[in-house]
Amino acid sequence: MIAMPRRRERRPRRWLIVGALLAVVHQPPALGAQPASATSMANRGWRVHGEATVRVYLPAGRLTVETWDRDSVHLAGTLGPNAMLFGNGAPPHVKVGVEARSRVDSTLPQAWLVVQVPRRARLWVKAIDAELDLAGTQVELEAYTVRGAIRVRDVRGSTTIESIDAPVRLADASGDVRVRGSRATVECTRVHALATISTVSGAVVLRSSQVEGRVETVGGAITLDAVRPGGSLSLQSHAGDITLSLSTAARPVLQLWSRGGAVRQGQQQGDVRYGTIEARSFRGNVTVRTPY
Amino acid sequence: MTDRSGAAAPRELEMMVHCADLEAQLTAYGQGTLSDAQSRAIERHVAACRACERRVDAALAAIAPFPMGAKSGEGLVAAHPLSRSEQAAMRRNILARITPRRSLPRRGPTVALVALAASLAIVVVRRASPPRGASVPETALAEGDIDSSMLTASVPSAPMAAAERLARAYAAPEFEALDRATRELSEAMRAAPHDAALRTFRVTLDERRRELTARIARVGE
Repeated sequence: MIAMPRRRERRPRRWLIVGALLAVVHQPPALGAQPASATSMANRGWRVHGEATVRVYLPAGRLTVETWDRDSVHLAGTLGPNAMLFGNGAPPHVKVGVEARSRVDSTLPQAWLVVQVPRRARLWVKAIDAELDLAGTQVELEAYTVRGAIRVRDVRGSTTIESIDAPVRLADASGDVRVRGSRATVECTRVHALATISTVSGAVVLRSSQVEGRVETVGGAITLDAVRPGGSLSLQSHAGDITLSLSTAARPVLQLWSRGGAVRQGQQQGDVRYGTIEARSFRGNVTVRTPY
Repeated sequence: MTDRSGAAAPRELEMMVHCADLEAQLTAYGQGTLSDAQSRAIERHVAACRACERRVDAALAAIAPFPMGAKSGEGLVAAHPLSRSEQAAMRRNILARITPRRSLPRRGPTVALVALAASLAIVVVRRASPPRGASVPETALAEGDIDSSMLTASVPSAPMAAAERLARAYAAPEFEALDRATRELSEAMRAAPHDAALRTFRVTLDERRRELTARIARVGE
């Protein structure tokens, strides 16, 4: 009977210790990691040359790059919980990107950024799983992502776009265009350029575009409605169909071939002044049709 | 391996690899799933064929477990330099791992329960975040005894590894599509070996494969 009060005193203290330790177990963020809702804002700028090289790296999220007539680079946006900015700049070169706060958290650091660069900047953008919206470069643009989407518009000079699974939409482009896709569709609208476009299983659509160069795909279909006047365009698909919608008034010279598929073309002869299209498919159909 | 007459032994002939066969075995070779004989056959072929050597180099680069271009520990460190604090944290991790475990003293159920909860807490916290400011446990080895290669042997950060996994996962069906197309073309080329159009298709497929491999490599650059 004398020992009883001592026991009652000890028990709450013991469970207090165990409870405190379990509380620590269930709340690891309190010991270093950021809570999931902790986003932060980014707002930075650099004075640069008009033709500076600007490199932007974003693992995940969304990146919008616009050009302006100022000799500076500005970046603003929101950084996700596991993301922080790195990089810096000097007048000839700015390199900025988003990286993970924690090297052990496998979540790709996410951010939603808007970046302004000089119109004549050489822009290099790399992403992993992000939507890229890029516009207005006049000298050089190079963009790369694994997944997400790439939209590029109103560009001149040299434009290189690479994607593994992201659909590519290129509009109002001129100069020298290189697009390397894989699974997703590559869609070019009003592109007037010397172009090299390739995919593995993604389709290639050239709409209202006057392109000279090469379009090659393994399993994707190729559709186009024009060629650069006097220019030469080579189309090749291993298993996809090739469809040419060509006006009878300005039909280019056509050289069509398919080993395993059908070749369907009208009787009309083409004129070399309107260009030359060579279309080959290993086992897809090659079809020429007149647009309505 | 040749016999006295200079002719290749029959077993050796079975294991000969041609350029066309190499494509189909590249991934398995890089992952080390081929038999020794198959691997040796590829290596012999590659030693004599410049184009295939480049192809194998590119494929190995694409499936390497660390950033492309980082073929040695030095390159890896250059690609992903660790800060002093990260190196210290890794050092502590390594020391913790090689510390001999002590048996739990018998001091009654309360102490055992507290110790269990404490170790659980430590495990969970270590998984959630890198150890910062944690005291270095006593060990028979001093820090200087740790080979620096243990520090440089770490793979890229978890986000970088996740990015590479993502790229490979999305590229995998594309490589399969390329393999299928290559097989179809190889069959057609056996029937018509001098068909220039087929050769053109083959060149294009090889080019697509190289491009895709290079694009995966860019994730780690």
